[in-house]
Parts: sequence; structure tokens; C-alpha cells
Amino acid sequence: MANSGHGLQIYDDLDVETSSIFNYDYSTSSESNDVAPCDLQTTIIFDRSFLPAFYSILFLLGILGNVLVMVVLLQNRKRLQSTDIFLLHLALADILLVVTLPFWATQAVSGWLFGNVLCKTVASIFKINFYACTFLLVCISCDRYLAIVYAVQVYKKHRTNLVHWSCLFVWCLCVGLSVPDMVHFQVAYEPRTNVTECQPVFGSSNFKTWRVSMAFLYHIVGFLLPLCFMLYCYTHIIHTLFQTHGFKKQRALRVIITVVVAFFLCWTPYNIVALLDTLNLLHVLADNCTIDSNIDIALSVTSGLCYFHSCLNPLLYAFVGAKFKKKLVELLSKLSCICPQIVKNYIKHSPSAKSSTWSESGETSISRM
Amino acid sequence: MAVGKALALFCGLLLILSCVCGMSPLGKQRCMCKGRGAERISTQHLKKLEVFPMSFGCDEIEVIVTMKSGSKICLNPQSKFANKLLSALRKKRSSK
Repeated sequence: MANSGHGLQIYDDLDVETSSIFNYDYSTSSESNDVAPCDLQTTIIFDRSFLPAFYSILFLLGILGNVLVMVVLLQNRKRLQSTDIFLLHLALADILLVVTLPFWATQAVSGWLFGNVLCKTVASIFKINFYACTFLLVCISCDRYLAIVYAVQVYKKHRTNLVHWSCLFVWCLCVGLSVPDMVHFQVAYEPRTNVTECQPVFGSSNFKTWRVSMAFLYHIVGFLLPLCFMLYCYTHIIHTLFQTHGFKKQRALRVIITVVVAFFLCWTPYNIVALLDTLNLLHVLADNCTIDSNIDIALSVTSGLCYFHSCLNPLLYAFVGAKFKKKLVELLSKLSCICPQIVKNYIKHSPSAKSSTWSESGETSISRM
Repeated sequence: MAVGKALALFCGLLLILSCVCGMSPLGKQRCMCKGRGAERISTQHLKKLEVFPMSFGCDEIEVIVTMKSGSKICLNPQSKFANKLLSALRKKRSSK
């Protein structure tokens, strides 16, 4: 007989005891398959090998690209335009998001080793930046929309202030949305899988209510609204671009479509799997162990895809701008990373910078004015 | 008319999404037993009995017995049989 902690009760060697407990025999046994417990180890074993490898790649790519964006933008701090300020905040949010990935990878291998305070901190940082990345993308699309469709002057000083205020608002909103996580995340032991993890712990009475409301909040605020807003903005931008003449229309169009498609491809799979997970939890799908473990593995893969979007952001938003590329090459040559001759050639052949922004939107908006 | 349709669509979407749960990209939250579990089992070949409490991953108490053959079975914790077996085992333990 053994009684381990955490409320788990184990009774061993029942053969001696049970015979004396029951002097009558329950001969009608029901050892059918539907009462066999699920093997939860399948997903744990998958995560143990998949997450560290996948998250390491995401961590390296994310840090490299986003630090580069921040360095280049901060080098030209004084001439930052509205979109550049958003890009700066986006790069910061991306960096903070991927910085939490090594913690989750370690947790997948050996459980949570970092204590309760770090659990709450890392979980909050993760959620804040999870939302911040999406909201800043919304801000960028809104900025481009105003610049192109309404040709709002991007260079007026009060607009730069507006940009700072919107960034502040985004961060406050994200902190607000992560408060439930801050409260509920804690280090807890799960006897079913024999692991100690940093997980949201809800009281037994409102277990389902909390899970439902957290997911409700995320799907609406974190995915559907931003997606609809971005689609609205970029559709109007494309519409306006088609009415103008003599501008690099194709290129601008390609950039916009890439941005929207990338967002859609990275975030939709996770949202679909999360929806399936819910249907499964509500016993809408066929309730069996195979579906459980398939959904769990799909959640691991598709949520990784969400984080991959943070690595794509520098490519999608910063590096597409001709001016940004030029500044990057200049910076690299300053650090004597590449041969000066290549830099000279690149600068000579690169399109002359008419605008003073790095980003595509600035260039397009300038041509409109 | 178009506004009404859009509003109806939006409400429908909200209704679907209000059922959505499982925002858990960071960990798996699962119970082990599907359905209620067995009402009774043969006591002849019992080897081990485990009672799993409610936890962050599962809001049910689960009772799993291991047979001598090594196979595992979920037992309905609410069943008469499980209650009888558990209370007997607890009595035995406390008397020791």
C-alpha cells in the first residue's frame, strides 16, 4: 500500500485484500475496450522530441530577424515615420514572444523547473505579446489604409504622437487581456501524466466556464476581429491602388497579398484545431483516445505555426521596403560584414529613395500625394 | 436588410465561438477515462487500484484499476461497486 501526495491514492497488491472484502463474486466483468483508459504518454513523447527542435529554430530565426529590424530602425531613430514606429514595437513584441519559447521547450522535456514567480511572469509575457503581435499588425494595416485611401499626411507631428498613443493603447490592452492568465497560471502537478507544469489552474466549479471564456476572448479578440479588420483595410487599399495610374502597382499588390495570406496561413490552422478541440470536449465528435491524441499533436504543430509568424514579420514588413534594405546593407558594411564593393554596387543599382520611409506604405502614400 | 443579415451572421458566429474552449497551446489538458467507466469488474484478478483527483487537466475524479494481466480499466467512481471497494480499502488502510 502506498499513498503519495497530491491527493493521488494508490492501492497495491489487491489480490490478498479483495478476497476478504468481497465474499461474493462479481463474475459479470465488463472488460471491453471502451472502458480502457487513454494512454496520455503518446503526446508527451511527441512533444518531448518535437517542441525543443521546432522551438529552437523559431527562437533563433525570430531573434535574428527582429533584432536586425530593431537595430536598423534605431540607427535612424530621428527620421522614423509612423509605420516604422509600429514596426519597432512589432519587432519588440516578436522578440519577447520568442524569448519565452525556450521555457516551454524545457517544460516539454523535464516539466517546469523555474518556480511559481517565473511561471506567472513567462506566461504573462507570452500572452501579452501573443496579442500585441496581432494588434500591431492591425495598427500597421490601419496606418496604410489612412495613408493610401485617405492620403492622410503621415509627416505631421501630431500624427507621430497619435502613433505613440496607439502603441501605448495596444500594450495596455494586451496587459489587460493577460490579467486572467496572470491570476490563474501556476506550477501544478498532474498525477495522470506524472509531470509538474506551469498551467492555468481553475477551481473545480468553474473549470469549464473559464476555459470557455478564455477561448471565447481569444478567438474573437485575437483572431476574428483582427482578420476582418485587416481584410477590410487591404481590400480598400487595393481598390484605391487600382484607380491610380503609373505607379508600381504590381509590387504593392504583391506585398499586400503576401501579408494577408501569411497571416491567414499561420493563424487559421491553430484556430480550426482549437475549435475541434472544443467540439471534442463537448462530446460532439466521436469520443475516443485516438482523436484526443491526434488533436493534441495538431495543437502542438499549429500553435508552433502561430509563433512562426513572429519570424516572418521582419521579412513581410521590414525587408520588403527598398529603403530598409539599403539601410541594412549600409549598416552591415559599417560593421564590415560584407565586401564594400558589393555595398557600392547595391547602392548604385538600388532605386533612388524618393520617400523618407522604409516601408512600402510610405512609398505608396507618397506617390499618391 | 443587408445590415440585418450581417448582424444575424455575426450573432451566429458568436454563438458558435461561445462554445469554443481549449486555449491551451502550452500544454495538454486531458482526462484518461472516456465515458463513465465500468460499473463493476471481476475482483478475482485485481492487482492495483488508483484514484486520480481533480487537477488542472481534468475536472473529474477517476478510478483506474490494473488487472493481473496488466490491462487497465476505468471504473465509474459513482458506481455502487466502486464505492464499496474504496470504502473497504480505506477502512483497511486506516485500521493498519
